[in-house]
Amino acid sequence: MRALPLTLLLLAPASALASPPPERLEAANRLYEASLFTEAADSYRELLAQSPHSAALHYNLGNAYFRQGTPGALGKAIASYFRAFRLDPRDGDIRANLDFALRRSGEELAPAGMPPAVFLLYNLLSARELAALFWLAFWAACLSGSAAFLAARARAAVRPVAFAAAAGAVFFGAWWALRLSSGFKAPAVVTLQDAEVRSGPGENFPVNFKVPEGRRVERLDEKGPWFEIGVPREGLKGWILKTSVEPVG
Amino acid sequence: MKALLALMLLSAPARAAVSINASVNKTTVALNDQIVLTVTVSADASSLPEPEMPSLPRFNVHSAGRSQSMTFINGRISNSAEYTFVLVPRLIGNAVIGPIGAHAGSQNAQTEPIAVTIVRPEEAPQQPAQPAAPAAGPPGRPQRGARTGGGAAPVFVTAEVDKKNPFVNEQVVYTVRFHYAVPLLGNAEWAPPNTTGMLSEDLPPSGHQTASIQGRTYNVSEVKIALFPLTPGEKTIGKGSIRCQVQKGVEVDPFASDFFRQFFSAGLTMGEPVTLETSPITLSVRALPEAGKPPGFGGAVGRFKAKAVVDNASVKAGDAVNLTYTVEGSGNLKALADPSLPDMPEFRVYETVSSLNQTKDGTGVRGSKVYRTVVVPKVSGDLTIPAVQFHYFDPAQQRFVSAATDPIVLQVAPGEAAQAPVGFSAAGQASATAITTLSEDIRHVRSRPGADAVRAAAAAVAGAGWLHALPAALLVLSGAFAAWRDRYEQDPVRARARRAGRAAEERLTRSRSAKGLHESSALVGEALVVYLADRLALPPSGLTMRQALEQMRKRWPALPEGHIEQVRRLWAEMERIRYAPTTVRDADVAQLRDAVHELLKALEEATGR
Repeated sequence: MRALPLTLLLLAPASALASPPPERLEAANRLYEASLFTEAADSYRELLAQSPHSAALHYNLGNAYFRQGTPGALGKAIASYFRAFRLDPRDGDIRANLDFALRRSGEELAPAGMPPAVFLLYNLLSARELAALFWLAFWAACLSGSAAFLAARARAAVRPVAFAAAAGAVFFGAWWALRLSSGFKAPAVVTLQDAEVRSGPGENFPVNFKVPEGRRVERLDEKGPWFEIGVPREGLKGWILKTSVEPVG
Repeated sequence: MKALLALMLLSAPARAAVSINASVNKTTVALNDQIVLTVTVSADASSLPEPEMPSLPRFNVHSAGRSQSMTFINGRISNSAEYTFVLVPRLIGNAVIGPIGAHAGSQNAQTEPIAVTIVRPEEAPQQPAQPAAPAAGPPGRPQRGARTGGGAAPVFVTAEVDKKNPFVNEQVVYTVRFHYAVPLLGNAEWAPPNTTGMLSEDLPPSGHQTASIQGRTYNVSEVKIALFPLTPGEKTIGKGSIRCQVQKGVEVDPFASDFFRQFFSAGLTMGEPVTLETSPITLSVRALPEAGKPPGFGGAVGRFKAKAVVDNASVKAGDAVNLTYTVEGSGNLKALADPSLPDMPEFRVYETVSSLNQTKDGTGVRGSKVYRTVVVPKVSGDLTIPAVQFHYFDPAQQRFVSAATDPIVLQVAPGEAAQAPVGFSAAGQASATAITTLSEDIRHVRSRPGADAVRAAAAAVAGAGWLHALPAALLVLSGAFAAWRDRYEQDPVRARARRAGRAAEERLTRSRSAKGLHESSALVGEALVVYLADRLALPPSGLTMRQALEQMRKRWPALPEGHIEQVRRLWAEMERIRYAPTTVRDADVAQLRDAVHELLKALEEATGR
């Protein structure tokens, strides 16, 4: 029974476990260093199809978009950096580039008023890592609890392990829940300069406000070719064409 | 007399009085709506102060235009400008538009605060928007005797521009001349034309003049506006209008010898309102030529000079030097871009701040824009601040011109920080070894993938779904089993009864392989007696057949009598074998064993086991 988490890992898709082949990553980087940013972005995207959990690939793709400097590239760069950040929030380079790009759209990575140390601590683990730690602690608590029930003679020895695992599950579960309840739940990034946000899902509704390229928004609903979005910083919401944003989740 | 009239028309007040008021079209606004804030600044002077808007954190503020009117009251000028702002609410709640100030010399004025409530869209009241200002009446039609093209009418107005084919961003002076040959009974009000696609700057009114047209002498008042077209193509200056009141029927010649008699008798007559409109003027705006456009050209059009100075040319390394860079000339100074200073790796260059000094006269806008920055030499020696290039387009020469400042040489002596021992430089302390950030950029790409397997494993664990219910189910089942087991162990009578059948079968099995008839028959007897004792919760030692049969009838009243009789018979047979062993054969014991086995099975079934 204790080997079940390991079994789950073995059942996971092999592609998810694979890192990008170093020689192909190096080849894509050479395109980037030769200022062939469009070709480099294509290569990074191909590699990401095989290794979707690679924070380094998302980061490199963000760099390639950022260097392109074409309309919409800043928004795509921020979307890629944001994906990398959600996968590996402890990486200083990812944080630096995401913050650098966000400042160009009038945003900052850390919320206003939050001390940097608190922000770093809060983002020490990604949401997936928190979820995984919660479930591992949950499994440990349940299995050790079952052992304590079944093996009466070993109950005294197993009980502290069960309680420690249960405490870990509560701790990581609370952290995970806090992460899910705060910040972006279904984020997207605006990829069009001064994208028009209307009061309803259609061209016949008036334009309420415009959002600069690169601004992170929350996806609230969708209808046909339209997303309903919220702009947390300004407390505004409205409908925007799906072609004007790139979902991050 | 002309001088007297001109003095009456032009004399400025000793102290310019200023007033300001503000109004909104609604005080409750939904989050998806907007309100219009109208600010009116008035002063009896030729130049108007700009309103000073307060901080409005709950709104996005957009300027929606400015309209100016000028009134001539017996030679005094009353100037009024109406600024329109569109406020788009950002946050729900109560907002206050704070006092809006205006300052003209020593005169200050400010508006009262306006409270605005921002509500959710569904909570917005369905009220009609109130006008920001009292509604204007229908425009007066041009009156008899008034004309706009010149001639011998008592009042008329003309408009002209100094050029009709300007370049983009080139200054165009628009001049309106108001001619009148009769005394004005009321105030003449000037409403400027629509100048969409052009930036406008009001120029100060010029002095009053007189003109003789078709034998008639007129007073002439001028209004001038500097216009800067923003894009090439056809641009139209719309109609401007002047509203005034002239004496009805009787014309008073201000230059006649009996002017005073005419003037005072005119006061007894009725005034007639007159509205004069200027004709629209279309400009054909030319684009700037691409040929010869220097790199770094920022769109300046006009005639400019550039110069750069420092406040101290002999300093120590680490000392601050104020570098002042000035562009002066005629043109749209407000539109000048910040200069791009050349690379100066030997200096630490701080942020540039700019100030605008603008003067206006009848020929247009001129002045200077001053950029100030602080440079700090990082090393000693003779250091040169390179020439700063400023490019502009000169419409008179129809070509691009580059104005460069002179290079500035600084004599920099070693600073104290450079002479001190080199050590760790704490943040905020300037030293020769401090690192200077020259530019900011993104960090380079990754050449190694990193711990992707760990992240993929975390994703797999986090996404296992319903598999995570397994340990919880196991825990629940284990707990249930443990609870049952604990209850079982705490009730020995029931446990003994449960185990009775299995224990009796074990004894019967052992009796088959026992050595000797005595031991084998003893095990068979023990199987029956202990079974009954366990089931009836009686001590097996000393249990008699009578006790056993009584308890069976008492505990199991529904037990068939045949079963009880069989127990009595087998018990008797068992005692016979025990007390007369010499007559017993193997077959008797085997027969007894089988009979006990069958009896136990029947009892188990009959008692619900």
